Amino acid sequence: MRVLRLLLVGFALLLGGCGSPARVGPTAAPDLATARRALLTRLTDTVIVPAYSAFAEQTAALLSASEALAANPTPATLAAAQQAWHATYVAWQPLPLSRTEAVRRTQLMSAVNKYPSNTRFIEENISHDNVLSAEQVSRFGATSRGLPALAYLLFDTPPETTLAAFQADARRGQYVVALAGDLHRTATDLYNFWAADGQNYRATFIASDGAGSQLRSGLSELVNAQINALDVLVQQRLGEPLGRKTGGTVQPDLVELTGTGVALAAQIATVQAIRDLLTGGLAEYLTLHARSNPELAAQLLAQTETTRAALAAIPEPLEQALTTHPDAVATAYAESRTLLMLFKVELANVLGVTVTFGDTDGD
Amino acid sequence: MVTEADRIVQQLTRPVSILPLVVLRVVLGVLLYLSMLRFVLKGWVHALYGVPSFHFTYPGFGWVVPLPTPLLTSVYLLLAVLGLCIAAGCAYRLSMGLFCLLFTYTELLDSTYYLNHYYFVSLFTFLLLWLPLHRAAALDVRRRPACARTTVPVWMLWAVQGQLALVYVFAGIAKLNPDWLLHALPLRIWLQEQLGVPGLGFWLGQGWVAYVMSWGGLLFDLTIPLWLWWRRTRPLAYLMVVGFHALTGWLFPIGMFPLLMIGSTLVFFDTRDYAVAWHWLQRCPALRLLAWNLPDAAEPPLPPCLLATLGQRLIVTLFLLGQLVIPLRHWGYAGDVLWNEAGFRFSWRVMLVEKTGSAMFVVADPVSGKWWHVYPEDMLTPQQAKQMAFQPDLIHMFAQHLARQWQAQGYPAVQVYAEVWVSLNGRPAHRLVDPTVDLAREPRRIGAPRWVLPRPPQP
Repeated sequence: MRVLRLLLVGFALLLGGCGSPARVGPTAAPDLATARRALLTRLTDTVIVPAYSAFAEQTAALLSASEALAANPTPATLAAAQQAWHATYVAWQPLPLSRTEAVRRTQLMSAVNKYPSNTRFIEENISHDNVLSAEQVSRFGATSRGLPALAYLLFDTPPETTLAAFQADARRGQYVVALAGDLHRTATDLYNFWAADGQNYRATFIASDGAGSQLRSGLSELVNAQINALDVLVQQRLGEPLGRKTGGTVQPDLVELTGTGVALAAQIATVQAIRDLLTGGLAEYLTLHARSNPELAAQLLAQTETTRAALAAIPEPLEQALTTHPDAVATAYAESRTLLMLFKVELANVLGVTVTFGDTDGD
Repeated sequence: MVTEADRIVQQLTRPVSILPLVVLRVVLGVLLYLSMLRFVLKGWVHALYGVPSFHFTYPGFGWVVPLPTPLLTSVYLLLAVLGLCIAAGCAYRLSMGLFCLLFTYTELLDSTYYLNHYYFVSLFTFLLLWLPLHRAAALDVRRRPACARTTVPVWMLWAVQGQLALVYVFAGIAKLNPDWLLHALPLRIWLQEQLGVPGLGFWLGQGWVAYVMSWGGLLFDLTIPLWLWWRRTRPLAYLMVVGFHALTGWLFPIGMFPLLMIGSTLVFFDTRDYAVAWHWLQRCPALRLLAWNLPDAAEPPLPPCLLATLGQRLIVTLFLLGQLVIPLRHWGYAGDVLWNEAGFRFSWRVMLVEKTGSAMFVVADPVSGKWWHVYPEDMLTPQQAKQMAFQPDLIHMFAQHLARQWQAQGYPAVQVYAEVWVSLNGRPAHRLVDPTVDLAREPRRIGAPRWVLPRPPQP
């Protein structure tokens, strides 16, 4: 097979040798294969894996805060648990940006942020007398675990009522601890999946450059993940609450995890994570290699900043800003759309990335 | 007195061995069988025709709709069986005619699935329907020995070779554009995704390789029919055909196209070539058992149950002449075909551009003042949405579909605007569609619509 491949390349070179002019186009490009490998290595080691590490650490802090709340439900421990949940949700935002096919197959991510929660099932579990542990929770469906389930227990009612519920029923606190323990274990598993001293998917990802007609290189998967995240930001996280799909009628109840006040911080974290990938090496790579679109790197950097600033300009919480500051939300939506277009159209095109992998032929 | 016209007729009706056409029939039949089976086994019948709630039909063919998935699967299985019948020469005319009809039906169902090699299959099976490929080494002959023949008029062979030459030459002509020649685009972009190919990645990442392959591909397309036709260069040319299609088939997801072309171009070989090949094959003891008398071109032609009729010649001539015009129809349209895609399909523009688009539709009701943002991904499959996002006629079709949907919900005056950005061959994105034009009011027309914005200037 190797001989055949070499023969094929020889054939390709022979074809060109027959008819190509002696000097065409610019001088030889830098070694692209090496540059791409270096880019993936840099992004993995300085941006992607550290994000998994930070998320795992944050879930540990959330577990501690949950245990404190369960042991002694007071306004202070509830506030601390809510704050830890908030930080964990923000720390989660960069992870979907590296949800490759291999990561998806682990099914770990789906246990982290699947919503809406199955609140009936959660309440039933609290009312039963079965053991509430992380092991037990790990066997539940994705809609009864993870960050949304925790949000339901920690934020679903006004703080006073929430606190009273924890004080009245110790099993509520035990369930929070079990959920946080399960989340921490999932986060640790995710980190270990990537880590060089764990399952070392890091090495597989870096080595997974395109080969033949498989069209699934590491860079390609990474760009697709950014596009998916931006698609969700534009259509679901901003567009739907803004009423873009309902004839212009705003829908505050469609704000993500409404009542937690986390929506804007999380959206900013998503955009910041995309920017981190750009500043972590992607922009530099584009500057060197995207010769047909030399302005793209600068444009992407500028647009991530503009989008981040537009989101930051919306007063918290998003649910209220939809009616009190609709123009600010609409501006953030428009800037997010521009960012999505830059990724989906220009970046994908200049890198030859297949957006949304399909299993059909082309010609 | 023998006139020039007589000489031409004599030349065109000169008998030649039927063998190349028989080989073509067998190879093509087997490939068609495999293609259809592959389509079913990959689950594409349901994914492409069962899942979508909306299909992008061709102008004038809106009445062609997909059958329910089980029935459509049966159609594909029938197509596979017909492929085997073609290979075996069993009820040839019926098999080829039915294959052409049913295959073309499936291709008319949704224009987002248009592929040049599907178009080629429809054309090729239509052409072969009119030629007697079943008069030797076929079950039809076994059933009716009187119809057997060893020769065909040479025009029949030339018609088939001409069809293949049309594909290559027009594919070459389509490459005569600045992007392909001066910038090695889109190959330079596509090769970036091939850097993991063992042993080749380093080379494919070199800028000059893209230029070499672009120019090599151009020269190959423009001249390969000539080299195949010329006996002295034929063996080497065929090796180049195999090498070229194997390379492209290996690097890019182009399905059965490489095999179809490698198999079909066997028709350029004549009896003497096969005799030589046969001679070599006989050196292998195992193959001696397969001894078979090759038809002899020198044998006098049998009379006649099969002499080509005037109608047969007329159909084939008009068919081929039509194909000289169709790929060039974009010359009659305004704008750049690579940008506005007016006249892009059915013109052998194979692997010619890297286009990416992003489309969002604004549906507005001026009466109630309500408006909606519609993202095509919510209503179309990823494949449909991706293809629609850079093809103006499909964008228009989807806008009209949206208008009908909103009208049915009680918004009779609804307006539909499109925000479409497209990047061509790695360049910065530009608007493809005038966002101020209400596409719900625009008629479907041939050529470039007025609401398609001009192609951005090239660097």
